[in-house]
Amino acid sequence: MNNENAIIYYDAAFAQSVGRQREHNEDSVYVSTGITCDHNGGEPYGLFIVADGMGGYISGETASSAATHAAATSLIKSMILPYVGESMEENNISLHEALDKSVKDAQKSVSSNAPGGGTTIIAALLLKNQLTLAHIGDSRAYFIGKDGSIVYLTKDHSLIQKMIDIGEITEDEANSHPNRNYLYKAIGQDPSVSADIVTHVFRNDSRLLLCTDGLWSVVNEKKMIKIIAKAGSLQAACDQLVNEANKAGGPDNISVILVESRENSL
Amino acid sequence: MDIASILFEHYNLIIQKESTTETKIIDKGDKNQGANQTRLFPGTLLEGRYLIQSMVGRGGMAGVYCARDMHFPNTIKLVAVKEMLFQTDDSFVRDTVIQNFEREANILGGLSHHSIPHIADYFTRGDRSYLIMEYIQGKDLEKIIDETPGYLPEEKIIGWAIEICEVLDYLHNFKPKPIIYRDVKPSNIMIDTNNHVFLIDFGIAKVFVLGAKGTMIGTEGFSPPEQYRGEATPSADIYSLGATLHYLMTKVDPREQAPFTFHERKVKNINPAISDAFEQVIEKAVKYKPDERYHTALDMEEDLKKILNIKSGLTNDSNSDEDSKNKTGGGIFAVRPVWVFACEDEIRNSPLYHNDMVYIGSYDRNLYALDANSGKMLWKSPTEAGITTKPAIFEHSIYVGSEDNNLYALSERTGGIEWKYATGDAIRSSPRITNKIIYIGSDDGYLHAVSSSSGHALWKTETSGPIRSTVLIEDDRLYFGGEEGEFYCMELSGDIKWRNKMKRAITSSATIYQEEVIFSSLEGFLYALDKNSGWVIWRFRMQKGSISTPLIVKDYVYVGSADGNLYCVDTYRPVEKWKFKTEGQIAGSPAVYENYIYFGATDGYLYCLDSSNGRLVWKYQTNGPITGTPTLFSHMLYIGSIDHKLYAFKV
Repeated sequence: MNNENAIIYYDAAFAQSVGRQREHNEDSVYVSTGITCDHNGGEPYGLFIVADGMGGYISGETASSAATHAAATSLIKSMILPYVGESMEENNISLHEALDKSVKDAQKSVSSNAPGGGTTIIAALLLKNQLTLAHIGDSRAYFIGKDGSIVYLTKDHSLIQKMIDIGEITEDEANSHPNRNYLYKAIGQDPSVSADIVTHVFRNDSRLLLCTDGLWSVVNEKKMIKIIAKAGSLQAACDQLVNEANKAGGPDNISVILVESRENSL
Repeated sequence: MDIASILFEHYNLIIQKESTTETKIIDKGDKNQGANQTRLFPGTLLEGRYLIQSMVGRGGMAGVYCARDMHFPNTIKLVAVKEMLFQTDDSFVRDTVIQNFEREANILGGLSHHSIPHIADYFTRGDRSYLIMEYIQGKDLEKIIDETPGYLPEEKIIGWAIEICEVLDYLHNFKPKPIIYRDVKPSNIMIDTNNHVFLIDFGIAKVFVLGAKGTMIGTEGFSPPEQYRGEATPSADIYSLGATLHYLMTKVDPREQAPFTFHERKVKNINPAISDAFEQVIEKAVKYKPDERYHTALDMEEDLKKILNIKSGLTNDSNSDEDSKNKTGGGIFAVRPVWVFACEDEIRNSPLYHNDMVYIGSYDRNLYALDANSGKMLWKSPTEAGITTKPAIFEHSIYVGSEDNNLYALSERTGGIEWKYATGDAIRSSPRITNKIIYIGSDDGYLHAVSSSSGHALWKTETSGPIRSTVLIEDDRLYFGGEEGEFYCMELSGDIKWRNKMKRAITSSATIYQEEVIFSSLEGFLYALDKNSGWVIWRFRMQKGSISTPLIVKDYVYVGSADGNLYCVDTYRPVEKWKFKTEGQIAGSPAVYENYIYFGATDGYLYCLDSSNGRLVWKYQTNGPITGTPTLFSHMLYIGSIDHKLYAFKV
């Protein structure tokens, strides 16, 4: 598919549901994609954020919303505007520092706008084919390969994940563990909280999936892969993932973002 | 209502997310309002007896005050007044708070130990309960950590730890039932003005019933894994004490780290001053599995006392004896070179190994060819100025740059000059060769591409200043830095694909890791740039500038700095895994062989470290600063020194 004159751009879709057992939606999402296209070719970018609030519904929904807005604003200023303005070379901040700052800005915003609340966050910044992720909590990011593979890009900051890591319990035991909801890191709880930040190459044979635990806690990876592979479009895939989570009881709010790269021949 | 949610509010515990609509985390606004009302102002006379002087602590619904007991009018007797307010609409919260407070009063009332404050009174008035206790003049360990510049002395910490063990042993053997403190952490340990320990705040201490499951309680970072499962046993207190000691020795706050990860943060890697014995005590105390920890506080106390007893007998390894200089930190074995070759001037660069031969340039202007096994010189070839770069070899010719501005091609067999190529200024960059083309930088500001067979220039591309770094060739692209702070990516044709300007010179050469090109700069950063666009993906700050080329092994990058440290940095995210401090600067690069990292420093030492944890394995002192990089091949290590000598070691 690769050809010299092709322009790469990002296509994205999202879906959200309050679920079947909650009365309020405490999740927030942010989705934006763009491209600057001129004689030098195309320069695609994208910014995607999911946040899952906690702390009672008022604090929770305010926290996830405040975090999402603050992180998006921060990254648009520090990375997207310089990128669009072709001033990346003079931009004296690294991608990791920009993501780190966005999380700190989110933390500040939650502290002042939703004191007592907390939220998870995943911020995914795509510049050209470079994906940089910042992550706190137990919302997740995956690469879903078009060949049916899945790569888990984040590691939950949960007690249960820690217990799995050190061999205390198995993945199966984790699903029914009474403490499976304990997070040891979240935005809004500790001013010095720091995110896990990583950079990956986003290949055109993969899709990026971001989701809250409302999806992954009830829809297993095999099913996610199958739904995404069979759906006719990214939007259909998002809708079907949310439906599947609701069919499984919908115990929590559900948020899903799917991103893929596309080619436009000149 | 889930008890964990409430406890999180009161004790800053782990965060629990709502799992159903029925579960609501209590409204923080109500409680904050309550907390504001707990305040007793100075001058308030409580019970007609306790004259409030000042507030000394506050948290959740409790406040602690210093007060004067007016029943002793002729003397100033101070007491601590702990006030708990339980004004809440939620009866469950209220009951829990009252139970905790009463439990603390009851437990304290039955105890008598010199490290536990005496309780004088307990009463409830309206919506408030009060505990009147002995007032301890001093500071808690959290404050002591904050206020101490640098690290606290080990002996002092061990002294406190012994006293904490004593009081824990008392509690754990209390009759009729043992008491588990459950919240050992720096802010709950007071050091009085006589340097004695007091355990304060028994709010969550628990009478221990074997096999009973309790509530998850404690403080994140200091609580052992079993406490999250609701189990409270004496070994939980031992874990928390170990966590506290780790914090005291390292100043790395476990509340800011993932839980149960002390084994990933060896104390010695953070604070090398710790003795092996004390590190072992801490490591044993914080074992994940309770049965691998000390079984009793008394056992731990005995080990701590042993350390204090033997500490005065420890020797310092900085004496002048040659063997003791050239040994490990623990003094396991001495290291001696297999051979030493002396030139007539300084060796500032790195040797090249090829076919049982070692080639090394010297500031005495010569390039030397030595037998790698014996150090015997086979030939030397003179240039017209000092050689400060590493030679390269290709098809029976040796290529080396000299400060006389020339790139030389020498016969591998005889050292005879085959050709020389003149640049416009001194060459302080080492040559790199691919497809019969040599790429080399010069102080004239050009990157030169020279035919390896004829010595003719193929092209030269001007940059903004001298080039002293060595070119990295990767996927038909050239990567290098310049002394003006620019980092370049060039096509093999010499066309600049991208460049990125840093603030200070880039003398370090670059290394590739996956899609990133990594180098250090005099600005004091280790940079990772996207190799396709030149964007800065991450940067890691060192305390001073660096000209050391990073070495990457198994997802970790090792790099030296003028601050004297060799850093091991995670390439996945730029965090320090460990660092090792030398007494000089590290200008050269580290080299790896099997599981060991080798490097030299300007303190004259060649160091060998365990690559997994940065522990010193051995060190050898030369008679001058080392600025080059070791070359390793087939169990042999070659390194030059400013003392004019090239050393060969068996490794």
